[in-house]
Amino acid sequence: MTKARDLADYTGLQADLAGLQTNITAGDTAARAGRKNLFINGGCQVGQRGNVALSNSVVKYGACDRWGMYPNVSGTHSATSSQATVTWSESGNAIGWTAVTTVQAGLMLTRQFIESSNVRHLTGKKLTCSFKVFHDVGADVSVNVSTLKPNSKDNFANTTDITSNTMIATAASGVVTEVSYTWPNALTAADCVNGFCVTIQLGTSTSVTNKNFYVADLQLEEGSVATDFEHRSYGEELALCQRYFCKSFNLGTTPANDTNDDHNGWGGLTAYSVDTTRSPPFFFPNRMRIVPTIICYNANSNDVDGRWGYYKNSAWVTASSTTTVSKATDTYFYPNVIGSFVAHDSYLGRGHYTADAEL
Amino acid sequence: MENQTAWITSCKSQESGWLVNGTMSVPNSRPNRHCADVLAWIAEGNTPAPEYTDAEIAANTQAELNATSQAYLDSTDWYITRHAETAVAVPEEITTARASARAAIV
Repeated sequence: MTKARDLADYTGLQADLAGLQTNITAGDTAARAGRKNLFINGGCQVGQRGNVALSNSVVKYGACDRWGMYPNVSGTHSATSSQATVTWSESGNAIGWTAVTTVQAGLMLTRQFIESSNVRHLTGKKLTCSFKVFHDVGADVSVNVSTLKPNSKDNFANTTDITSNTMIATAASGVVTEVSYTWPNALTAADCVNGFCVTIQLGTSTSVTNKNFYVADLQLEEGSVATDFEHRSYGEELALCQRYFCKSFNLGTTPANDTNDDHNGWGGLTAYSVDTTRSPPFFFPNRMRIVPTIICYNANSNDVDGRWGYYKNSAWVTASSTTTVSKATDTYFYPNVIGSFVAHDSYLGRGHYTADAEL
Repeated sequence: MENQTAWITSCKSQESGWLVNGTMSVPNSRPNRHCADVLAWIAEGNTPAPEYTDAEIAANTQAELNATSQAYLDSTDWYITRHAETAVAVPEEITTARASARAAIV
């Protein structure tokens, strides 16, 4: 009798575990697998570039990493891309279109290019995009979404629309509007084999003066239902972003000349002739997507813009010409610092760089 | 809208690509979007300037000559010191070479 009851309890326990397993699998597969959110930096936590001034139809990577931004307006206008601090998003950050002024109705477009290796598995699947919008225009703002695909792998210079300008919501002023949109058709192989782009378009119906628009908690996921925003740790998100852009500056410092950011110098410039040095390679924090474009900045305001400095005869000296790149890979680069050296001597150096491998 | 070339105001060849607008080192690597812009800019009929202008090459050459000449003078100063202190003659070829080195420094 006891054995029979034990067996029954055991069988019941097995059934409970099986049911629990089923529930876990159905509910949490995406979360446990990670990367439910196909956007990188959808939480707007990472902002390596600092504020960026925007101008009509010129796409710039903005204050929040990975997000390209451009206004589409006529006439005099001004707008700034910022990493805004808000109270209503998961991370407390948002993509900010701040101090926007236009003399006519205008569009503010925010988009992310997704590389082919991260979307090519979506063939035959539906996608849902969700995000939050806030603005202080004082009138409704239209919210549209477009998608496109590059005509060749990861080359967004030439693209083809998949869906164009679908109006999905109207966002009232002064309140947070949660928006979601599921594309009506599943993606074909041709839609995602070369990469993918989602563009979010906020449209005003009249001119605006010094107004602000925010977009946050941006998520693109498989399926027909928008689910809760996926939290990623800051470190994880930063590493994902650094595949596309990184810098030697402190994270909170906007890349620029004359920052006086960490300008005490680092060891390692060795002169191999009287005017040229080599240094140990500057390794990027992560392997980048491709060989990046590198911009060198001075680190100290006493040095000439764009030129690294070196310490010689008890004084800092600025390079005699712009610091350039002798060799770059997706992992490291060697700077080319030109100056007046004693061949085979070593010098302290100082300077900063950004590396850009964006799509 | 992508792949614009209007943003390119200057372009010089350099060891591994181009120096664009004075500060951007763009690799000669087609997947790089700036490289695509530079190639489009070249296709429009533009030609990158050489890495160094004639004046810069001349200046670098002179700087190197100055440095090597000064180094030679420094390395043979002891002949002069020995002559001053002990009256041992400076070899003629050293005197001639030092004169050339002094003349080379600008």
